[in-house]
Amino acid sequence: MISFILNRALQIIPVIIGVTLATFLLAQIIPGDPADVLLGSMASEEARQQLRLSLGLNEPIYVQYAIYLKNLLHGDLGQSFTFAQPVTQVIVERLFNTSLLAIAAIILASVAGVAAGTWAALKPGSLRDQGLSVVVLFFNSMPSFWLGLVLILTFGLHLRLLPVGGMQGATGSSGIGSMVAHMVLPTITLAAWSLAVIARMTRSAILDVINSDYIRTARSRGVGEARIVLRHALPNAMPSVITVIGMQMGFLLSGAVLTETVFSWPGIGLAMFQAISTRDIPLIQGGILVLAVAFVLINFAVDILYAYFNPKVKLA
Amino acid sequence: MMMFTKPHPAQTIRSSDAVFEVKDLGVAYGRDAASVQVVNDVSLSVGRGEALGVVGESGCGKSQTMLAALGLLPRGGRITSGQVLLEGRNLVDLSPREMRAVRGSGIALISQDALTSLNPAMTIGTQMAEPMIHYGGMSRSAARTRCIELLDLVGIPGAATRLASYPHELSGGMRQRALIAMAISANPKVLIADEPTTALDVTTQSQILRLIDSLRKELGMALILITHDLGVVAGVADRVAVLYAGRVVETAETETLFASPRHPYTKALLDTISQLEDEVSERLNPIPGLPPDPRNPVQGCPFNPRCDYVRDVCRAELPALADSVEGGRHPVRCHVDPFVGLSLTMASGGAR
Ligand SMILES: Nc1ncnc2c1ncn2[C@@H]1O[C@H](COP(=O)(O)OP(=O)(O)OP(=O)(O)O)[C@@H](O)[C@H]1O
Ligand code: SF4
Ligand SMILES: [Mg+2]
Repeated sequence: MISFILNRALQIIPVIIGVTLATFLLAQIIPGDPADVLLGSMASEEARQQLRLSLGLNEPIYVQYAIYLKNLLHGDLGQSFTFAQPVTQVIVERLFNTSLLAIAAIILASVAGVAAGTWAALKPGSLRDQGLSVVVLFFNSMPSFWLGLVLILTFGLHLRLLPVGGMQGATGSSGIGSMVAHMVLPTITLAAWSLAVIARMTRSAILDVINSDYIRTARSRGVGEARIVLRHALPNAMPSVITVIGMQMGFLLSGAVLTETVFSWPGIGLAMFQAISTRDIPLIQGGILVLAVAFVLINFAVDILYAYFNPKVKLA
Repeated sequence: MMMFTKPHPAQTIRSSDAVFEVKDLGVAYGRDAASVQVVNDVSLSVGRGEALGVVGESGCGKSQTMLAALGLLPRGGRITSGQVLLEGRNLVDLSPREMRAVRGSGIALISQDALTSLNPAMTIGTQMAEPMIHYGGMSRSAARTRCIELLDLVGIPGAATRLASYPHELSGGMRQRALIAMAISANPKVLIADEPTTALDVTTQSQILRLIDSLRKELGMALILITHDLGVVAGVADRVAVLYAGRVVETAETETLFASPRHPYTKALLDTISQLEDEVSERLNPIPGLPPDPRNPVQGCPFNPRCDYVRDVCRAELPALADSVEGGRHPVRCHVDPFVGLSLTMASGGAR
């Protein structure tokens, strides 16, 4: 298992180098003077000169890339002119908020999705199984921002049960209750699509293995249906379910951009949205880099979980 | 091919002694016009401690009969007629909960491919102990002791350490032994072994067969040994039932069947053993032609397209399973019964 983890970790390195190259080139391929691109059009001539010097913009491109990497290693992602702050600071402050939302959403999607899929698989073809298919289809065919708006209208404006936007820290005056209340609608919105996909995958993965010989062996020894599904079928279905959950985690990162925008949730997604509308290239670069690295690390974690649930993979 | 000598004389089992009986069993898939009958009035019985061989080519309904008896037909399959009696109690009428209690302790199953029949995501110990702990009310440590005892009994060396192994970490023969240990763990009255050796090499095959046979005697279980290979039943079974196209076509004591087969299909199967005795390649299909597809049943005797003794009546009418010659001890499903009276010549030429 240790060598498996090390091996996968080594495979990550070239991917991350590729990502830094891509974000570096982003500033190069945008037409115009890179100093203009990086500082915005309002910057003074003096500031531009200084940036040219510090980034080596008059040097050959590979030297510029080396400088970019060196700055990266020092945690320097440049200056965001929209927020008038270092990009690193903008991202670090918002990374927590995005993670909070994304983790809440993936937990909701995984737990509810696996539970719903398993519940349907216990009685395939039954009314509840068909009901689940309808709900899955519904969640999968509507855009998440639309669901967000519907939730805001229903629970926020009409029923006035829940706040419709913004975020509240747990340490704030109104405490953890208010924090949770602010999280409910964005979490549901962000989780809905993934929940449906995970439920569908869990159901079909369980039904795929339920006709296996080892299930018949367990049944022939008097093991009951609930244990058959939960202890025999579900663990063997887990590798496919985990793969889908992993893919959904990547998807959630991009979904967060829309959801955060709809709910004014102060995360990386909202910052990226603002950066894109103001062409704040350093912040876009930094945001993409962080999201891409997060994506790679999530896949790494998923691979390890996959191996854990599937003992045969460890030997490979 | 294994044809070791049978160690003790066959006993004739009267129906009243039967611990397990299948009576006029029918199994079908699908409904109404799309219905396909894969098993047709099959009757079998096996007495306490007795071994019954069930023989027939691939697709003749051997596994379907046994799965129906265990209440484990796959989705879409159903019992259309008949009874399954365990010590006189009809299992077909039981509720799912009652049937669960019968599985394992009443009737146990050993399947063909041990690799796919063991849960790949559970250690041997966990899957062995599961019914003991959750349905047998044993403590974890008692279950562990019992598992070690069982693995010892089936000849797995280092039993205690093997409990923590996953199935893919064992060899094919060891996996089959583990599967056998699981099957006998609740002291079943009837052990059904469905082609328990086909996935193994020849040496391991005979070891596993001997193991199953010795466990049967030691534990006093009735054994139903399913195989497509008459050579396998020769050394183990007291009696043999030959299945063809979802029906029993002949039943007799093993020695009688080998010495004087009465059904042309049985005779053809026996001829394939004598031809193949020294060869390893046993997966040939040496009887010319193929068994009928149950979706497309043959009119009359199902064997008629492949039979050397076919007459007009064979194409018109299904023969009944009957015995007018030997007073019911050797029933056969054939209009012609071509070998009656030839038994002496057969005995010297057919099987050794
Ligand atoms: N799930 C199913 N649906 C429809 N027909 C089936 C199903 N399972 C088995 N059958 C049919 O039932 C017939 C008998 O199958 P069965 O598995 O009992 O054969 P078998 O004698 O055990 O053969 P083998 O030696 O290959 O194991 C076959 O013709 C098969 O096509
Ligand atoms: S009934 Fe006719 S076709 Fe069928 S086995 Fe007997 S002789 Fe052959
Ligand atoms: Mg079979």
